[in-house]
Amino acid sequence: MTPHEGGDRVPASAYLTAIARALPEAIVTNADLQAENPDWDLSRIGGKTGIAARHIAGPDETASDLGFQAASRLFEAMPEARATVDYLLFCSQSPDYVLPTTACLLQDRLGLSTDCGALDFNQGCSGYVYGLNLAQALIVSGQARSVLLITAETYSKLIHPRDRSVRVLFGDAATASLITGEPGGARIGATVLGTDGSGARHLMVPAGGGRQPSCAATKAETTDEHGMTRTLEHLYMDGQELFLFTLKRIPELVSATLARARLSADDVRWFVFHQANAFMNTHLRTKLHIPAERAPMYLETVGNTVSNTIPLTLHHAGGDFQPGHRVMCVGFGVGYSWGACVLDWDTVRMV
Amino acid sequence: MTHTEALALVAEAVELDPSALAPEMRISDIEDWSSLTWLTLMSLVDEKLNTQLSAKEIKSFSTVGDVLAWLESKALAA
Repeated sequence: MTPHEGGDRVPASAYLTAIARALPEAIVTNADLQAENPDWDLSRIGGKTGIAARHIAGPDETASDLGFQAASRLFEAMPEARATVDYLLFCSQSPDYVLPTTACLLQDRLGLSTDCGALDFNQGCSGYVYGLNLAQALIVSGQARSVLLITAETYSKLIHPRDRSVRVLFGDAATASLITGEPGGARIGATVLGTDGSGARHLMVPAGGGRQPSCAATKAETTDEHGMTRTLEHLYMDGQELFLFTLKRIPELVSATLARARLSADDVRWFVFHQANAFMNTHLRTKLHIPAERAPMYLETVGNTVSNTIPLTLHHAGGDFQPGHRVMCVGFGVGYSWGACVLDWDTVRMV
Repeated sequence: MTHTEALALVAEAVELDPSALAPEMRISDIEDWSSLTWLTLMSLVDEKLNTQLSAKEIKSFSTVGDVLAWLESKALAA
């Protein structure tokens, strides 16, 4: 990483220039889950979640493999960008190793300059908003000229096959976004972040880290009162608590972001929410009086892909976004952690 | 909200006719009452009563009557 040298003007704003994505090849449909688990009643679940299928990483395929694919696609389309990247941000809760930093491995694998800063950050559903916020800060402070932000997640590896509550929701994916100081992309505007760690226990993998290291006891399977089987090393989610958190916190987050941007809801053409599930997103949108056509959903074929949902939805729906439109990205979930930002849309290249 | 309004709300959440529900029924005995029923009820409460039904409250309910009593203690949103 080379800070701007004397005489260079530091950009006043940072711009999201391009988004590429990568989805694992294997697809698991609701019918596949039903066939594998004849005792599950999945008849109504697809209608409620809005999810019919999800992509699942292969046994030897890691989040960084998916991130590598997404970034490689970005550089195929924009070959000149590879040499200019001077900061790599890797957002994941599925690192390759406890150490070293996955972003360091990706710097080498992607052939990025050794003058490049590289950092992992562990965030889930708020991760993309965090990534844009960090990239913006690096660029407007003159610390970086071109930031590659990769989101990559393989929650499927953390899910017990007999835990319906999470298995029907989550899918694996990665995205790569390029953020620079060159005007023309989507300008990253007002951002609001928030945290409430008192909700941590409602969405977590309890064991396998420093607090509760892996041992025989943490590998023991238990079945809860709802018939969900998992171990302490698997993902646990209390859906009611997460829904309650969303109802209480996210309308406030949207209002606070509008206030910081000095906008009204009508000034924002598109609301891109974290894609948790259709039921929750529809309720949230209705509560905020946002019509369906201004809140694109992209869930049916990919499911909830954690930090990837916002860039995947931008990638999916961005063809309808016009220069001059304002877009609000709203992320919320595991932590609890939440964040929203306004993008002033121009032309973002979707790879 | 009134008893009739509360019963209609619960019936909507569990996708049953109000006549199929009675206060003394144990929720765990109602086959159609799933985890999705609770999420739907949370959503309806948020929408119609402008308040939140918490996960803690849900855990304290054992009969349909418990849910109805909680709903009846709340006023409909203006």
